[in-house]
Amino acid sequence: MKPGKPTSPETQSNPPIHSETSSNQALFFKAKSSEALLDDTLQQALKKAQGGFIEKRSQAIADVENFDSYKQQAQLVKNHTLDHLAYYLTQFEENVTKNGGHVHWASTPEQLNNIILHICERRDAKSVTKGKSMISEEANLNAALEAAGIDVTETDLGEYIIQLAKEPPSHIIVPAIHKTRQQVEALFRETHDLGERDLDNIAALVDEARLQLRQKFLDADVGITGANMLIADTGSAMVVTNEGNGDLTATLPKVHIVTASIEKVVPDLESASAILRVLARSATGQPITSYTSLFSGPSGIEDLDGPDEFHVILLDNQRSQMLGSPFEDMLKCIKCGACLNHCPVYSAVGGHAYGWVYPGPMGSVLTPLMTGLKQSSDLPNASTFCGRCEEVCPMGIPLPELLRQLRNKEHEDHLTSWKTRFSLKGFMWGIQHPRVFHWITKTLRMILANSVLTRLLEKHVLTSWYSSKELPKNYSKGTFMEQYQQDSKQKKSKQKKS
Amino acid sequence: MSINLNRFNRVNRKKIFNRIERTKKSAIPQAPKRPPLLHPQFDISALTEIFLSKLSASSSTYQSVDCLSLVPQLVLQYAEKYNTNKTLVTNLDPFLNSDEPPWDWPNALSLSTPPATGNEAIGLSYASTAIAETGSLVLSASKQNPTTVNFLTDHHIIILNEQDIVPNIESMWKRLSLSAGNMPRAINIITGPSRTADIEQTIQLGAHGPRSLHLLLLTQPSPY
Repeated sequence: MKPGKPTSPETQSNPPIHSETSSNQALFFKAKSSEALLDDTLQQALKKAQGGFIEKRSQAIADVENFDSYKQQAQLVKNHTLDHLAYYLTQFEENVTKNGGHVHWASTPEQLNNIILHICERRDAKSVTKGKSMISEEANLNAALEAAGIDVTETDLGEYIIQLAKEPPSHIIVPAIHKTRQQVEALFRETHDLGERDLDNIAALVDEARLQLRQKFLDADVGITGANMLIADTGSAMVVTNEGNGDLTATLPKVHIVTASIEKVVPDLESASAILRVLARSATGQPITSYTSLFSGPSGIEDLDGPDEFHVILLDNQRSQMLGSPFEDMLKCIKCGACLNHCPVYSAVGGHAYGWVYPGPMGSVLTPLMTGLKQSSDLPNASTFCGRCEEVCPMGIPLPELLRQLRNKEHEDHLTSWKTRFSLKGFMWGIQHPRVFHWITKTLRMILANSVLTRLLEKHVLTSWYSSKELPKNYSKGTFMEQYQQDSKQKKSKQKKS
Repeated sequence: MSINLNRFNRVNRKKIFNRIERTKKSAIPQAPKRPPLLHPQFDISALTEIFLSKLSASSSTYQSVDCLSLVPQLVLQYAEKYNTNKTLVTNLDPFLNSDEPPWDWPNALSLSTPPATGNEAIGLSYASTAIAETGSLVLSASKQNPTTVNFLTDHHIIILNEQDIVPNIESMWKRLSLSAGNMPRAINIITGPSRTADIEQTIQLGAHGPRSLHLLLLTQPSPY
């Protein structure tokens, strides 16, 4: 896509950071997942995380009378909003302006970065603090800010850890889930001026980060946060956190910029309440997070703190294309992460194998839609179709069905390998020709009944699949058809006798 | 700056809306009617009880007070309990005591006026309403309740009138009666102290905001 224009010489000198640079990694799912399975430290971290989330969520759901009805209400809100998206976006824009804020529109991630750079340059910003924002991850905003010589600090503890480690997030709500305590300690020792301080427990690590980041909050010129929802009726951005980092980011610097995607808008505060009720329960198993905050503009004359400028940047990045398409349901996603926590594939390989900012089942749908199926053709296949993701999704998104559709599309677009296409074609032809089909099944059964031949097949022909598996042993008297025919003959002869 | 942000926005806005309107979701001139939503219901006679049990579940503490004039002493006691420095940041004095004699602050506490700077150990604020459903305290940014007091102090004490507890999240919004153009800059729904579970999914209080949250529940109706 074309970068935003017109651009100033200054912004041109900072080449737009293409999201493709990071999305390319989605091509390597197979290789990366094999690596992940052999990484002991990662496996240790994943094992620790896995059970906790599932248990906490199910407890939170058991604690309320009727979670299904909560889900229904939340889905009602999203369905209605998506049906009238243009109306609510217009209303949101009007009301932000009424509150004294500014709304900006970005079709592409590069445009979002350019708008932020423009605001930062105009305010001569030297340092930026960030609350967690997946939209800024889509845009690779940190790289763009650094390229412009601006010091950028992630303030969500998990995001801060992976920023120090120079890694992308591996989970949408706990970005450093793949790091063990020891790894975090090593990172802090490497990057902080620690002196004699002890960091041998989690409390000490959290305190150390608090100390370092407190000064960053106070010094920052611009604060950038994401938004969990945008309220059309009041022109507000709703930010949900547990640490309070979003609030410090939105309150201390002179400029507050909210980055959000267009489908985050909801009609009013009553609608937002319905979604809040399912969000934290599905994500961390809390009835509500420590802080749910509503930001509605720059500070007023009476206020003693807060920013003097308030901006909301709305990013499209292919979402308007999903609207009205077979993938529209994906726009209902509230980024709670429940599908990641319950996915057997994610739990085994972690988030980095997925190669882009969104991992797990929701990422396997979003990444191909946003970065192109060609760049991420393994992802729709990174699922066992066990259906747990759909079951736990508070918005009822049919994730397996969407993945199935992507697999179809992959086949139609000739993105699958010649081996797969050839085998499928052969199979189609075979099942349409009964004689051939019966001959093949007869031959196969004979091979499988013979242990020498079976081993030959395992060790020398189908090596890539059977190096870690065994073919089934077959002790049957014949193929299904052979046994059926024999059975019918016996019955007939019995009937004749009687 | 030579970048024309207004034009940039106009062009992009049009592109995005064209793509949205290509689908059936066209912009209609009049407001669409949102389907009615169900709200969870609670026993009105037991609101305080429900609220306090949820509040405790969020790792907050509380004590009941029947008179505002007791507040300074209770704040000092709380500071002593945490053995912290005795700097208090608050702007409530003129607000809560307009009809009463001003608060008599003990000498042991050193007072500072907002905004909070990060050097004050204790913050004192006033919640305009609270939600029984979640055990949350709701603070609107104002001259009396600057947002920095909620997040830069180590220990946060909040005063709430018992009669301001409402059943659910929706009734809280209704109570605040908000409208665009008249919004407080920030509204914080606070449920417990700041926390993180980002390292090995172990919950740790006091990530960036207060390490503890204490409620002073005013059981006598306040005259304000």
